[in-house]
Amino acid sequence: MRVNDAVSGLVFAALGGALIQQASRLPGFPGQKYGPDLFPKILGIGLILCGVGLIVRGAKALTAGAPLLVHQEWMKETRAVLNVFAFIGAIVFYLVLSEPIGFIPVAFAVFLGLFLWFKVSPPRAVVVAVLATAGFHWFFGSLFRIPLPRGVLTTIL
Amino acid sequence: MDVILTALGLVFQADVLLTILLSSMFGIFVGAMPGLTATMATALLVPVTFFMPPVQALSAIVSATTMAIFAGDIPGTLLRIPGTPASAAYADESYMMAKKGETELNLGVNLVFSVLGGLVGVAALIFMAPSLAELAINFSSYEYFWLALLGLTCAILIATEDALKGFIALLLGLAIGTIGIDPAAGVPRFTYGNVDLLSGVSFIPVMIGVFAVSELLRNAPTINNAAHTFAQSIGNIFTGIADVFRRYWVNFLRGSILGTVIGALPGAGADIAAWVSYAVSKRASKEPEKFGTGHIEGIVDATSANNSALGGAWIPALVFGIPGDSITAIVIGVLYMKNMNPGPSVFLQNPQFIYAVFIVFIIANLLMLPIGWVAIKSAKRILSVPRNVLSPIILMFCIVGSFAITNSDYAILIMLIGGVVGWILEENGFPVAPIILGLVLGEMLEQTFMTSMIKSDGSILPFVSRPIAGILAALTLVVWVGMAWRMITDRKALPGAA
Repeated sequence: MRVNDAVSGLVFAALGGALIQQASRLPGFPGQKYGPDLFPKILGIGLILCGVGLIVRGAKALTAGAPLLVHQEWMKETRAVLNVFAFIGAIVFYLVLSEPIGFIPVAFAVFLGLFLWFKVSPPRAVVVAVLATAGFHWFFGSLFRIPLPRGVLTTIL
Repeated sequence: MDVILTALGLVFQADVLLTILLSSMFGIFVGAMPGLTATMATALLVPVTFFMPPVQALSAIVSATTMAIFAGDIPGTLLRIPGTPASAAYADESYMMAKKGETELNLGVNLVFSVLGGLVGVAALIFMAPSLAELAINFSSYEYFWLALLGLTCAILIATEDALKGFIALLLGLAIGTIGIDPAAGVPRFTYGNVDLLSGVSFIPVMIGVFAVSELLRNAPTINNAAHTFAQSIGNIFTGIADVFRRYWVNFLRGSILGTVIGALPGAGADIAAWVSYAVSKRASKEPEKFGTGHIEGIVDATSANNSALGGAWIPALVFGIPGDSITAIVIGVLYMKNMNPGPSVFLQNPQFIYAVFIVFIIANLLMLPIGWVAIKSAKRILSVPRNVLSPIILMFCIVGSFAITNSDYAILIMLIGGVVGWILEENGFPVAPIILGLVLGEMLEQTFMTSMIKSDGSILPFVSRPIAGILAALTLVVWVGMAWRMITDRKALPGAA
């Protein structure tokens, strides 16, 4: 989805404004004229200037008849849009459940779910999901000793 | 001499050599897979290198990227799909050659001249970096401030089509970099009581999000498109290479030197090197009408250039701590994590590490010949790996790799945000590499700026009164004026396309 430059310009100009406002609440540096607020404020000014530049450009495009929002070809296909959300959903799913349930079941579920959603044949999906989960657990958990969450398997592992 | 022996000792160890071999294979695979880039290879490697000693970590990155830039040529020739953006400049030309039945010659030239070009880049790195470091040892905060500013400006001017959007991306990266303890006064900034944010937004998860997760999201809509197949079998790729060299050795030298210089310019990397040298080759050619019909000449220039750019990009990265491209931006982040702050002092304090990097570069380029040959021979198998199986595995790599950095979900959250924001920004024409440059260089820029401001008590004069600082300031101004001019002319040419 492409929004008109004026919209993104507005967002970044607002971000610049927020940066300046938040920076001005920072404590000063005793005995110095320049404190920790100076650099963020300069960045904020830069963001506002560039944002205004984009707003001007976008406004010109709007008056020339350009739409506020352009949908790319792929966005007309529900499946394609859902593919994107499948990845985002998988990350959120892992984020929420890996701690209470544990790496092994959650990683397996992420693999199996994504494989099946992306139309990998079910037998192959199960086999690759098992192998991939085991592989990741071995590589990161055993080889690099990353404390992957154990969750419900705490007593077994 | 002692230093070189120490460096050899650091490199010629079983675990380092094994790392080079495995990373090379990883790099070949990632480079050859369309949609997976050399930058992504680096991003995925970093969490693994996090647990390695410095030389081993740098070896992994050097060998993976060297291989990936070459391997991008393979699907370009066979499928007309460049494996990495660095091969895009001549993918059409290569494919035309393949259609004419010159697949072997094309792949052979790509392999051999990638190796040779890579070696030229390394030679430039070996000869220029130490002498530049001697010059840089006298730099004060003023010079470093201008260098950082110049580097960031060049990155936007050269590497992005839309300077305004590039600038915003850079400012965004710099702004993210201000989160955490501020470098001059030690005051916590924008942390809002969050303990995780005190040490700043963790660089690796942002990078994995921006370079790898956003790439997965962008490719997600077309994930079920049929895997690429081709029926050709590939014969001897080394026939006729000697003839090409005799005929086009000028092209090879020109491409390699141009590639090294472009690589060394901040922000411009292998892909721009390939585009520029291909264009130069066409302009200088005696038979430019043959370009675009499956002619080897421009390919010699461009395939040498993109590999030589890799070595060139390390020159400013090691000497000044200013990245030459997005890969070295990641490398600089890794160097800071290994407490090997890049800059001229590394050359004095830890020269053995620098020499070890040089040696690994040479090994990786030489190793490219056999590994590249195997990769070309097994191209059919590599290219038939289905994306719908590969992508979820890469996603898990991103998740666990991010988690490994902080051992907490906080990093996964940062990665997710980085991925979604990076994806949305790219969809809207914002380049994402400046975000990482800003994040990496932000602290240096702010620290040198604040130190300089406090030293000069707010006066601008000392910023430009030292000779080198003055020259750098003038250069920066020239680039800024050029950029403003381009923005104005751009706007006339393209009346504000959304």
